[in-house]
Formats: sequence, C-alpha cells, structure tokens
Amino acid sequence: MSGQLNRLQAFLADAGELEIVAPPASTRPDYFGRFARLLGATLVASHVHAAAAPGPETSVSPVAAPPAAAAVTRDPDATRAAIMSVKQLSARYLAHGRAPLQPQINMLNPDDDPEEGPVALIAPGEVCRVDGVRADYSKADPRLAFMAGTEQMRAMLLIHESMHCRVGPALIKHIQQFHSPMVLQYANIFNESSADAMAIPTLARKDGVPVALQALDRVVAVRAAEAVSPDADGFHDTRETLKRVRTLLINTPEKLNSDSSTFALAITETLAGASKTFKDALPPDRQGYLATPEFSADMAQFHKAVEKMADDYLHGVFHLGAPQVALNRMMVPPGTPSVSPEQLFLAKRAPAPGFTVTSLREQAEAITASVIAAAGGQATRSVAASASAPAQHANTVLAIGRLRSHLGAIYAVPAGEALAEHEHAEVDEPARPK
Amino acid sequence: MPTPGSTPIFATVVFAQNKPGAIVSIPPLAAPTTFVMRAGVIETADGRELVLPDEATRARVLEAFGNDSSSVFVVEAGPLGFVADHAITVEGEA
Repeated sequence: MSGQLNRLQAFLADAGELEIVAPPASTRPDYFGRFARLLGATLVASHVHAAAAPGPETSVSPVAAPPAAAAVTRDPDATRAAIMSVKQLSARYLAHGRAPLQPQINMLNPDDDPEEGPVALIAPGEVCRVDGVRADYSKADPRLAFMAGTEQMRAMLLIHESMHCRVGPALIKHIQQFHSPMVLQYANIFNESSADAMAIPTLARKDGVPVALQALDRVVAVRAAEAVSPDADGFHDTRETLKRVRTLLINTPEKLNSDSSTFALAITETLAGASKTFKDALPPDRQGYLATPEFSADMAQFHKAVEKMADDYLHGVFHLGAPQVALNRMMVPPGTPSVSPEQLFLAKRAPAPGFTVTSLREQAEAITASVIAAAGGQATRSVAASASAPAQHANTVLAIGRLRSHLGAIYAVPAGEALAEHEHAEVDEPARPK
Repeated sequence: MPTPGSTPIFATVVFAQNKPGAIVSIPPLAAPTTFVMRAGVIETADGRELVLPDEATRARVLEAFGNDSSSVFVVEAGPLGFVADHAITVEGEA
C-alpha cells in the first residue's frame, strides 16, 4: 500500500495553509457504525449461510423453544469464500500505515472450533479484529442457534458483541474509579443493555424499522428464556431496556436518522431500562440500599456515565478499544455455579497493555513516517523532487500529519474536551464482556 | 448520472493555499473502485455520487478539474489515517 498515497504526498508538499470544507454534521460518516454495517453486510451476505429457511419471526412466543440443531447448517465453500472476502476487506480497510499495531480480521474456520459461541474481547490498540463469526451455533448452544437463526439476528449479534468492545473500556474505567459495592453489578447490567440498545436501532437504521422490530421480538424471546434459566446471570435480562427500544422504534423513528447527539440521547433514554433492571435485581438484603444517599449519588453518577459513554462511542473516542469478536472457550460450562459472575468478569481481564494512548499515537506517527519514507524511495516523477530533499520530505510528513489531525478533529471528536481527557489518560485495561 | 437508489458518499474537500486543485476526501470503501467525472459529478464506477459540501465548493472543484484534471483526486481517509488516493478520470477517457 506504500505506493498508493503519492498524489496526497505531492499535493501536500509545500501546500501552505489548508482549507477544509466538511459536509454537515448529519451526513458525516459514523466510522464505527459504518464499519459495523459493512462487516455485518459482508458476513451476512457471503460468510454466514443458512441452508434451511428460517421459521416465522413475528409470532415468537416469549418462551418459545429454540429450533432443532439441524435447522441451521453451513456450506464449507461459502465459508471459505467468505473468509477470503473478509480478509480482502480487512486488508483494504486496515491498510498498512493506517493503524498503530497489526490489526486484521482473521476468520476462523468453524470446523476448528465447532463448539463456540460469539464472545467479544477487548484488545486495546487493535483497530478491529474479528476472529470468527458463524451461523451454526447449534452444537454449542441451542439458545445461540435460535438467536442467530436469521440474517438480521446474525447482524444484530455482530453489532451487539462489537458494542461490548466499544463501551467496555469506559466501563472498566468506571469500575476502577468508583468503589460502590454495587458498581460491578450495575456495570454488568449496563454492559448488556447498552449492547442490545445499540444493536437494534443500528439494525433499524440499516434495514428499516419493520425488520428491526422482528429482530427485537426474537431478542426479547431469548432474553425471557434466559431469565428463567437456572444459569441466568441477571445481566443479560435486558427486557426493560428493550421495551424502551420498542417505544423508540414505534413512536419516534425519526430519531434514528437524526444527528449523532439526538441519536445518542435516544439510546441513553432506552438505557433507563438498565436502571430499573438494576433496582429489580437487588437482593433482599440490599433493598435498603435504594433509600441511601449512596444510591442516589451512584445513580446520578451512573447516568452521567451513560451519557458520556453513549456520546463517546458514537463519536469514536473508544476506537482504540476495538471490536474483536471471537470464538473462544469463554462460555460458562454448565454445572459450575461456584464461580460467581464477578469472578468470571474479573478473571477475563487481560494484563495491562503496557502502552498509553499517547505512545500509541507516537507509534502510529512513526509507522506513517516510515511508510511515507518507503513510498518516497519508489517515488514517481511527480513526487521525485520532494522525495529527494530531506527537509522538503519532512515538511510533507508534517503536512500529512496536520491533515490527519484536521480530519480527525472534524470526524472523530466533536467534543474536544473528551479527546483531551482521553489523550492524557492511560489506555483502559482490557475486559472481555460476553 | 448517479445510479438511482445508490447511496451517495458525502465528501470533505481540502484546498491548499499554495496549490491548485483539491483533495476530495471520503471514508474507506468496502471494495476497490475507480472514480469518473461525468456531467460535472464525481461518481464511483458503480454510480455512487460523491456529494460535495456546497455549490461554491463544487464550483471550485470543477474549475480546478477543468484546468488540470490531475490536480483533483480522491483520498480514502478513515479515523486513523489514509488508505489510498485515486485519480479521477473524465468520462470516455478512462
């Protein structure tokens, strides 16, 4: 890819001041949302292959049983072709020089890991890494087979897991900063609610409200079935949030296509359901907690955090904590109730990454400079003059860096304060919410 | 003309103080394509229009392209950097 930016280099050499004319905020791309949609479309269209026609979606009973394992199968040829297509997509989107580490999308062959379900892993420093998503979860978990039984649901699953990666760093930071006895429980509830609250409206934006409502019915059915399961963790019971998502889709669909701040607020409003779930899930010996000043302070803080998280992940602040959707052996095995969800949650935290946002940015600049230097060595006639003069070449590097900063300011972080705060913070420790 | 029903691509335009021409910056695309100027509109090979921010900007871009078609080019730019740049051909000259 090093030879593909010669026009840009030539233009920016001695370019002087740059005048940047950006489109209105409402039409600026939401890079993460776009990438999720792009991935979803690719995976659903070419990778994921359901041989059997799915059953009716709109009449799903809240306690409906999952379909038989044989209802969903896969086509090895389609899988192989899709793996190749996603690799090509990855190579194109995450081209050399664009990312600080070594991001790529690795599609695992489902035959290598036939028993795994989708799990989101947070890997700071990676732009976007998808280790595997597939259609046939029937061998692993009938619930997942039911949940992934339609194209829309597979897209919803992908977005849901990606959202864990998006919001995870903020949640971990929140847990570290606030030592309320209930903060971990609330964070776990919020984690699942926010993923569902983001996934369904995103699906609505892509495929329309009727399709999203069908997916919503199915998610509600799955959540209801989970809630009565002996293995219920309580965190995945997002039904209160989903009620508000339904209200959003039916009563105020115009918010779906509004600007980012309105959409973020709409998502936040649906997350009031997470607060209700939290209250309802408090054990009897903690019910008095609701009447304490500590609870009031926590609620106020949580809602501020919700606003901040919704705004941040819509505006890409957490792009360094990037989506990694993997098929790892992260499912809680049946018959292991002695391990608490809190222990599992904490056990899944990987070691501290050993780098900061600032050092990552410096690393990215160094890589970019090396790419530009390599391109200069093979320069075409149009840039030969600038490549032959070191000072001029350095100016070109600076000009490209300035342009990147300008574009980044326009697209990624409208809230300058949020960026400043994030830039000076340590990279959040990774977590692996399911 | 842009293909009816195709999704437009909203572009950011960058002008330089000391250089003629312009960068037409767009988000990374899902698949490689080429770009063509057709009836005063920049399009992808499959007919997606690159929508420029306003009429004044569009007029400046068209004027620069008319003077020197190689001075206006497309750059795919994501939140972490640049992917590639592309020339814009004139319809019938590709």
